[in-house]
Amino acid sequence: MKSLKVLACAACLLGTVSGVGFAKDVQTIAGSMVVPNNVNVVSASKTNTRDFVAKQLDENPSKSSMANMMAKEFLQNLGTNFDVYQLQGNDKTGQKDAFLVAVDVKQIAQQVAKDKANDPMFVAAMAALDKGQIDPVTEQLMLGAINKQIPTTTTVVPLNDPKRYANLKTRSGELLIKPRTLTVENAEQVHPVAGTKYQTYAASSRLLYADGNVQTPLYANAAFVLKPGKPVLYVGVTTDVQRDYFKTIFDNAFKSIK
Amino acid sequence: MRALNKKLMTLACATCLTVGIGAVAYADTVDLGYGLYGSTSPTVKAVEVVRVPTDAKLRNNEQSQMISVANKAAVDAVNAHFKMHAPVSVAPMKGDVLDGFSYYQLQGTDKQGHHVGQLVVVDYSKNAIDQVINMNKTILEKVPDAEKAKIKSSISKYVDSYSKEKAQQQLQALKGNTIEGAKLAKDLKMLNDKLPTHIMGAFDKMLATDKNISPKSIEEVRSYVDFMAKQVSLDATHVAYKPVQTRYGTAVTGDLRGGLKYDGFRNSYALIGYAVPTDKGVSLQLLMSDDSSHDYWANELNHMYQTQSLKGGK
Repeated sequence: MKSLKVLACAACLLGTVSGVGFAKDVQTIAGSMVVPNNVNVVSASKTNTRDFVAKQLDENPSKSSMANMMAKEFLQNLGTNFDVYQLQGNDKTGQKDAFLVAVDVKQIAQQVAKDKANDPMFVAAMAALDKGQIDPVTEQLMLGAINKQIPTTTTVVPLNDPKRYANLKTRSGELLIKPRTLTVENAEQVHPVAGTKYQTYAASSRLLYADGNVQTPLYANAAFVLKPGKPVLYVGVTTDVQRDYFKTIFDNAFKSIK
Repeated sequence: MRALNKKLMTLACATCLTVGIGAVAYADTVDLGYGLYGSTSPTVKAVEVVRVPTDAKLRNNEQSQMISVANKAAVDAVNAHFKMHAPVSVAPMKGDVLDGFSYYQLQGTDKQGHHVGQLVVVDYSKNAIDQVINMNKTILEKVPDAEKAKIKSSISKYVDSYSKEKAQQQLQALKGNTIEGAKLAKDLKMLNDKLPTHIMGAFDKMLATDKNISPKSIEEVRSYVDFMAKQVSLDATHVAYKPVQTRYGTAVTGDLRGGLKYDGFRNSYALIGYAVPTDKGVSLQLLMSDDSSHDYWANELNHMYQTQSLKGGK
């Protein structure tokens, strides 16, 4: 019996130590998130460039007051209503970088859809976002509608209509505007994440963008964190070859937001 | 027994056909210039983005125009460089610097994911290399004795003109080098400490050529560039070069793994380079990719060039 207690204590201790030793908290706009200790996180809102631009705006305002206002508003929102982070790490295959964009959906929706302020659907949606909760029936309807759009097998989505530009050719006879496609691979359905402080939905996919035959292979992992009053959409993007490294880091980071 | 033989025969034929089709379907050819061609491995596709053949007869109008524009820019750049940095005046460069160039995107997939690499091939003409050797020779001859000691690595000390044989001899005697860890960190610190001054120096020289800008706007733009120059730094985790034997003869290969940083954000990359001397000039190949794809592309290029280490490189 005693040995069991010792074992339990040792396990707790190990858990605490590993928790302290291998992970750290990073502040983001919806709250803190946990990333491994060897991953460095930088944010656009804390750069010297942000401070420099702010100082320039105060000291040398441009002639256009409209441009000044927009730039100041942008800086005020940076770090509160949206932010861009970069996660930097490494493993045996090399250095790893991923971008993470965070956006306060309610703030942005209110700014973008000012004319819909009286639309009952919009008001209901805003109220749900304020509450930070989606009831099970709405959740099922919502997930059903969204997931119907997410391909379960590798699917090539055309992004333009090559026939429309068939006559535009370079002097050597090549197409001027090439067919653009997005290949969706290993797409995860949007799913509720268990064990989070705020109701959270997540999904991820491999995305191969092609312009003609030239490819950009990406991986995206996104989470919608329904913090009451401040619902935030996080979208992490990296290249496909860094997917295995970042998948777990993103999954755990989104799960840990508090 | 006969039935078994027939079945085995069918199986063998089917295998040959599958392998054959597989190879035909994927292996692509890359033009390295001067009649050198590389074949990618069966799983790697090469997408041609730009290509100007070294053989003028094989160029179309568009390609001829591209090389002529590129050559004008290259001659101007070389002459501007010598005008700015050479301690004595040298005869300006004439003729073509580039015989051809090409740009491919290489694409491959393994369990790690989809790898892409940007392969740039530049073919430097013998004419240009000979002139650079001569320019360096002139500098060494004309420069006052007091400054001669400062010029440690003038190419003209080793060769008086370019030929494939001379270049290969020099490469075979080359001692490979790898820099990593503390040594690399020290070198990078030195480089990064000087970087803002270098950027500002280049920027001031650029401004000096433009007489139409008012002093006030110069001051304003200068303060922005000065701020940005201080946020830029170079990062590297591995720098190496070594002579190698390839299917094209003796060559030199090098690696640079690192990143470019701006204000905390970084862009990591890996560069793998090969320089292959030929009779008509040097074919330089640079492959740039994600740092995480470095090993994949290093293996692919080893396969494409049939690279083998040379004693000097170890």
